[in-house]
Formats: sequence, C-alpha cells, structure tokens
Amino acid sequence: MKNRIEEIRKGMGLTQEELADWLEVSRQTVSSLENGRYNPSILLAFRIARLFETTIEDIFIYEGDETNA
Amino acid sequence: MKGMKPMLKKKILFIGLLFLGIVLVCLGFFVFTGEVYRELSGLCIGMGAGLFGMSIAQIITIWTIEKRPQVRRQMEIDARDERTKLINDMARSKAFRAMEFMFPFAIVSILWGWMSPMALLVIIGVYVIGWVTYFLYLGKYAKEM
Repeated sequence: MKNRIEEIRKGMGLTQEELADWLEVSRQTVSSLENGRYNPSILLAFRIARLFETTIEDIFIYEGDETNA
Repeated sequence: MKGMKPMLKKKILFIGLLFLGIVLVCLGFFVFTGEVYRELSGLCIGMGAGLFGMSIAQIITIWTIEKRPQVRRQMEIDARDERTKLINDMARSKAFRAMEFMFPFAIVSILWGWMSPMALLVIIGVYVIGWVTYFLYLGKYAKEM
C-alpha cells in the first residue's frame, strides 16, 4: 500500500521524530510507514489522518491484495 | 499499598528483593558452612547473587527513568508501539512453532535416559534454540518492516 505520509509530513515542516512524537509511536515506525514496509492499524491510520486534517483515503492508496507479512 | 504509584511500588519491591539477595548470599557464606551444607550454601549464594544483580539493575533503571521524564515517555511509547508489538508477536510465534516440533524429541530423550544429565542438557538446548530462533526472526522482521 502506497501512502503520502512523507509528502504531507514534509509539507507541514515536521521531522520524523516530531511526527512520531505526535502519533506516540517510535521513529522507526514512522520510517517504515513512509517506506511502505509497514501498513498501520486502522486506529493509527485514523490518528495520522486526524493529525494531517484529512481523510485516510487521501493518505493511503490501496493497490490490491496485500498483507503485512 | 493501595493508591501508591506503580513506580514506587516497583522500587520498594526491588529494594526488598535486593536485601533478600544479600541475606541469601550471607546465609550461603556464613551460616550454611561445612561439607553437609555445601549444596544448600551454593544454592543460597547462586540465588542471592542472581536476585542482587537483577534488583540493582532494576533499581538503576527506575532511578534513571525517574530523573529523565523524556526517557520514561519514550520507553512507554516504545512499549506501546504497534509495529514493535507486531514484530515481537511474529518472531515469538515463529520461534515457538519451531519449538513445538523439537519438544517431542526432548521428551523421548528424557524417557530414554530417565532424567539423565544428558536429557536435561537436551531440554536446555531446545530452550536456547527456541530463544535464538526468536531473536533471529526479531531481527529479520525488524529489517523487513
């Protein structure tokens, strides 16, 4: 699943550490999310969307059958 | 104890365990002396030293956390982090699924030698292999995710 987290984060002038701090996750999780290596839980996706003041669909682009593992 | 802060409760617990460790080591060295008490003395010293080391480590960790709220917050975040939890769960699941296949061999070994030292070593080996597998998958998933 692709996402626009890095693009939106940079647009807001936030570092990965700052975003991690806001979302209360580790910096590695933010990095993995941005690289598309990890898909967030629905709760984290909502937290990200709320922080970015947009919708989940605007951040995450679903491309077909995929799983985390 | 009700209403006491969890960190304070932990500190009291580990200070208690620290003293218990010291008491056990002293018993091993000064009370259970002589050939008759050799095994009991060794047991007391071993357990006491273990308790002492663990308690000191925990108390230092608690003091460090108390002095640095930022470190405490980061530790809480890391403990709650959903990706870390998932990696842990996946690695544990793989490791212990592997253990399921290895344990019947250990049980057969016990029956064969009727609790011989070798059988005990096999069980310990299986246990160690399980944990090594766990840490290998932990590293693998941490790289992949």
